[in-house]
Amino acid sequence: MLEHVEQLVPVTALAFCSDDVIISGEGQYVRAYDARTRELLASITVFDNTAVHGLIVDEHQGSTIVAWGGSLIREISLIQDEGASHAFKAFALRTTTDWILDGALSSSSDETSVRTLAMVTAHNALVVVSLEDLSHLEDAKGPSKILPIVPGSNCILYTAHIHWLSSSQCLVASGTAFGDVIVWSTVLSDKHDGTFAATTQIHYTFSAHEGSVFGVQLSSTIAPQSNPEVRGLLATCSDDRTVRIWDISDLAAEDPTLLGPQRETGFGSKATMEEHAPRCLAKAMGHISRIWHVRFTGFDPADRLQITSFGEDASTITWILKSSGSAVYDLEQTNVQRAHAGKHIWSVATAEDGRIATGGADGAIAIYNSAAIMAPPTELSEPLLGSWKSADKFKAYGFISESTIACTTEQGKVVAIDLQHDDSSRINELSSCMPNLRGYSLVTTLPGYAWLAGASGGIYMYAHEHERLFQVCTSTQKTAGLFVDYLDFSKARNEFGLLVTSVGSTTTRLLKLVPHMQSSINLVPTAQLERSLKLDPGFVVTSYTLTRLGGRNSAVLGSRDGRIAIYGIDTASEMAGTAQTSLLVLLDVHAKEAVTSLLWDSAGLTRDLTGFLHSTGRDGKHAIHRITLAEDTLQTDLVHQLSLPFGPNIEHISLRKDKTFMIWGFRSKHFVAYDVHAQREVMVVECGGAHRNFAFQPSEGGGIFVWTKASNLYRQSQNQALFGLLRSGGHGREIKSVAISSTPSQIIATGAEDTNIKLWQYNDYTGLRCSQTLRKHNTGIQHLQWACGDHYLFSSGGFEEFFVWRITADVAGIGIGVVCESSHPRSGTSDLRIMSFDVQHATVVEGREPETFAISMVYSDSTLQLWRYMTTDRSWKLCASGDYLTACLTQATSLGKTSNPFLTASMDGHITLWSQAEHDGDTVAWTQRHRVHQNAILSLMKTPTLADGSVLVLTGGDDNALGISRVTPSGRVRTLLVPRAHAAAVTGLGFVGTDAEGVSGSGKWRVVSASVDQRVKVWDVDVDWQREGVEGVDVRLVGDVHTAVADVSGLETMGLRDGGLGVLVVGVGMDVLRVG
Amino acid sequence: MGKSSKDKRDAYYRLAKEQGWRARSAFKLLQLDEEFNLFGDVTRVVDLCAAPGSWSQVLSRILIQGQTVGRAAWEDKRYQELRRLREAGSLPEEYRSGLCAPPSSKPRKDVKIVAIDLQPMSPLEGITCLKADITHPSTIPLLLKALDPSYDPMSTSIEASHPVDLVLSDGAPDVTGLHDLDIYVQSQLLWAALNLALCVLKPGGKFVAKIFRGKDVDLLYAQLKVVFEGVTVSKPRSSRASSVEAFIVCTDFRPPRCFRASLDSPLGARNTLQQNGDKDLALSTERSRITRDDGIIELIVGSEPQHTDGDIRWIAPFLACGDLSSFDADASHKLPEGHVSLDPVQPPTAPPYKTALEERKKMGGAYGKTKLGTGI
Repeated sequence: MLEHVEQLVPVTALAFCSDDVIISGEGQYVRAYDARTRELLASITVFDNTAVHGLIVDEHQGSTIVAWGGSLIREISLIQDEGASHAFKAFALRTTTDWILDGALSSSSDETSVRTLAMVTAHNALVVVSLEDLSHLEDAKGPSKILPIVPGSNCILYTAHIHWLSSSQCLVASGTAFGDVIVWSTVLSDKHDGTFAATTQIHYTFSAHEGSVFGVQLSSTIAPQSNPEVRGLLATCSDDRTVRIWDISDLAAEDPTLLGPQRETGFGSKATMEEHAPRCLAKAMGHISRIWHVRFTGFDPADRLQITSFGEDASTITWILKSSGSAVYDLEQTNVQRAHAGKHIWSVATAEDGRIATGGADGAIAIYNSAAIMAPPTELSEPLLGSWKSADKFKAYGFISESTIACTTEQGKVVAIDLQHDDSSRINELSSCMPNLRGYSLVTTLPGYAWLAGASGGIYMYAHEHERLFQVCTSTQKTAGLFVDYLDFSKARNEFGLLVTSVGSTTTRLLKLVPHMQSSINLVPTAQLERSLKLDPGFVVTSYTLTRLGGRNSAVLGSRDGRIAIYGIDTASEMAGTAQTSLLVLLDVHAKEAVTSLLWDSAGLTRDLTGFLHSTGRDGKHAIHRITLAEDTLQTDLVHQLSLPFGPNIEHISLRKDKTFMIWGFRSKHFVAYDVHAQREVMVVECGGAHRNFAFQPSEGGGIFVWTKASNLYRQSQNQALFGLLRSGGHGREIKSVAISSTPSQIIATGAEDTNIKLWQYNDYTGLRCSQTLRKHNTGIQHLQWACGDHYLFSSGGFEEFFVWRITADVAGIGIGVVCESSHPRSGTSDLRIMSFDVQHATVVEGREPETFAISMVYSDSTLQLWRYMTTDRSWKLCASGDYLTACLTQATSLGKTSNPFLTASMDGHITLWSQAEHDGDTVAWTQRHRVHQNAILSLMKTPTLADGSVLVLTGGDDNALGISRVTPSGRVRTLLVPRAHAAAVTGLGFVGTDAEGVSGSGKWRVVSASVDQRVKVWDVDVDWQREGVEGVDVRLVGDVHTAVADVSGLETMGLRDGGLGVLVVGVGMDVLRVG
Repeated sequence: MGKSSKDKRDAYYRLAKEQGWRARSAFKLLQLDEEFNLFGDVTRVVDLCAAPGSWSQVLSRILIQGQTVGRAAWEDKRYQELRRLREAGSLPEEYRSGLCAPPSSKPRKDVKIVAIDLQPMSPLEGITCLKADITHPSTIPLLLKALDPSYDPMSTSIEASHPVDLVLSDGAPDVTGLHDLDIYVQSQLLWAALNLALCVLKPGGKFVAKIFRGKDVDLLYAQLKVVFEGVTVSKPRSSRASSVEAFIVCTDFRPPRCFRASLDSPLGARNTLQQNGDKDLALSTERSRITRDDGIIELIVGSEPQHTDGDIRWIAPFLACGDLSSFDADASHKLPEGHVSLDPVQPPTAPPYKTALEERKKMGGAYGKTKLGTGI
């Protein structure tokens, strides 16, 4: 009845498998991925109702894997057939008596010897089983239980690490909820009847942290540099935000008193406790919240021991254990990575070659590339300027090739600097000091060329191929801005449009540079034509591009105050002295902040009548206008305008060879380069902040960033990303609302506690792909609803936040375009939450977008407000408002043109009908309330109007019940209640099929419900609507499955590619199920 | 949003401060009592995971001081007013509350209340506070001694000579955010409380504990049903609907024959009670249709207790408590006129990361090392 199709849930287990395969535990699945191609190789359900919390791979037999979750254990193997395709094979399910924290397989020198699996439980018990014993096929009698051989204690552990010292001895470190660590070992003897005997001793037991211990890691083989005496180390991490390293070399140590009665537990019991503690070598803080895991991760190039910690803050911090004198150590932080969104790294795997993989609550899997960790930035000024340094410094610069910049100096020199290699940059002097470039100069570049200007006099061009610098024109005034773009869009003929603005001038000059034979027989462009563009008052040019649409050429200029002006540049040059005026000006494209870059994307076809103009600005946004040539005039539509996850200084957008966009800018003291398609930061450099000269040349895995800091020039390059995402993640916190557009495009909108809204597309091949992230809310999202197909999305949250998003489904290059068209006038003005709302089109004009929406909103202070929003002038009008009682309202829906057009649900379990008084238009009052549930109604949906004009309203309650209420047009309500429909609150409802017959007949609906108990159930609801009230309603449970999504908050129905019906369940993750 | 913002957002937080409760959770116990008459004929009580002590405060005021904390204490006057306006004075039965006086009460005789927590707790008059771990076997003799000063810790008996009427536990772990783990740890805490309860509770006694209503909660319900005749999961109105928290109210303790409680081999995930055949029957429901007094038709879809992987699942009946005139814990409320925001009765205890916070502050907002890697 219900079948899982796709899911994106927290990654709770990870392991490196054979060479290029990584396996993960995602909910009840184990999945195998190709680490290079990111392809999903195989997937298997290992447990029915339990998530996989641990995975180990047999190091000898790379295909043998043991998975566990809760108290369940299952061996699986990854098989590759002759066609090279992979498949998992599962062995029998086994159980033990308690939650398993860690497991390890005994190592043995030869492959044939018996391998033993040892596991530690949350009560510090040891469970041992031979691998052979796990490799049975499913037993009809059900799973057999493996009992612990070392019984454990009553105190609960949050973490343990088990490590085989030999083929018969295990060393265990256990971390308790109260901050204690116990290090103990067991010698095992195989009794050859499938059981083992154990002799246990405790080596250390001590209070290691001030808070719960969440991560422990043992090492018996690696030692810190310079101290061979230390043979065994223990790393621990905790609630108290510290990582600590302990010397546990002396495993002979044994406190006999420890083996006696159990010691006192609990916080602060230290005083009475006789501790047997190892020496703490070092301790450090770095994470801003709890630390979940710690690992020994090899040695740095200087042969110092590396430790990596992983936190609730979703960051991965690398430390080195640094000797600071004999037997004194420091933990020094060397690297911080943040590959996951929001909170929590739940799983970690390390490979022998130094690779680290992490799995997050966001569902992403990241693989860190330790080789890509950047060396400190190189300073260029000193070595390159050499003896000049005191007299001269680098001034303005830009890239003229993948690794070369053209640069002016303070003294007016022009140089080319080759930055190909980290440590050996080469400088080539192109000209000696030029007086008009002294003290003030500007540089703009395109591949192979640079243009230079100064305070007055000549404007120069440098052609790199010929290494020639020559003057293209003169300027009588100080040049304020110098911009260039290709005039020939094929970029083949080297025709350029150079834009020169002068200080204090109300016009700007546009020079056409075309290839021309110079005296030295080199073909270089020279100034051919000049036109003058008139600037509107206050228009200071900050960016420029040339566009071609339907064969018409235009120059587009961006200003310092957020304006964009478009000029036609096809007409013959007008009379000298007459400046050309703009065709149109767009105001406030980037609020009142500078438009930092413009990029024309004609989608490859210059004869097309539509193209896209991208702009970036210091308002932190990336905007796209669709420009259409219609009846000889240009029409512009803003189709996209979203904040980026960094900024507000967004400096540039560029189109890469693979037709994806890269945007760069700054976040506080860092330079950030961002891949728009992958929605991730690809390069981050600490450079001191936004206000400085810089140049960036993007490349495959990063690029070269050059910047000026305190009059010195620095360089940082990166040729591979610091981490790769094997699987992209979703929200960083739990999803609170979901809405799917009822169009064939089926755009999925999710809103989460991380305050973001994400737009997704789903298909059977690529699975769930997030195409946009909408960052504007300051509180968790409460509700989302689509309107007009997929043209409008509405969202609400706390602080009375309510936004109207205009969506364009087919924007070249980025897919879905999003503009926040308007916000509710009271957004952000109070601390009330808009719990839910319902949107109806009030008017629909044929062939045009609807102009007015009627929105009914329900508030946390028990009020209902009816608003009208007009898209034409973006105006808002409060039509009516009314009070319920004092309970928080939770749901709103419209019942159409009836005497009670509004229905709400509330925390007190009632559904309430409302009417708008005829005589008193601005109040809305409830006419009757009807108790359905004992307490909060958390989900609600209604059928279309039945033959008799009534509707069925389905409700899911916090009281575990499913309510079916029939509401007649006259406002009569009758309810059928299914108590104990779930074991916890029913938070999602959806219809997945209907078979409603005509007036005389009966109707049948198939309903899906989802609950916080992590079950999704299917119900058949039969309605004989000729019978009174709900007498003719009958409900049967027809399907029931587990979902790996915790904290379920909603459910939406969706169509699957093959025409089947499915549901999307959201909460901590997303789960797509097919309904049979 | 100012100091009174939390007062508006959370009516019970404000009421707790105004009425001198150490935590808002006092209202949860009061509302549970209103529905289940928890304190009827009760004189001997054990309060587990008691800190900061608001439940013990409730016990102290009602059992020791003989105070009456009626519905008026958490009644939303504005709600009553709105209702009165609408109904023109004719309030239905369910809303009469506040109008009638709460049952009279007086100090009871031979009251014995023992409160246990890992954290130290400010003393309360008449209540014995123990700082101990409820999972630890050594706690049993401590508790028995506290309950009955004549108890001889040298004796091997771990059964109370004068068992208690009621065991309470409002304990919850610090949640990690890994839901499966949090549910597991909470269930362990519930098991620990139950094990202690089994050692001290008299037959027919009551047990009330916090439970997380999430995945696999039906496994716990089924286990509790083995030792208690009545098992109901209840949500007081003062507990937010947006939280998974609920309370399991178990009444009429029926220790199984030949059962000997012990913390040395406690019941729990590791050691479950086996259902006998009759119990299995008790957990199953017949398909039925009942028309309730209020006109709602209840459809019991009928179920067998579900056995999965050897575990038995059963969904306990649900009962919301604290009637509708109580403040809604999820709503934003208008503050009474002239409202002055008070300081909490008890400041929160220092978190384990207190040192980290101090360290951070000293370094100027970060741990000193902010120059590395990405700009987080």
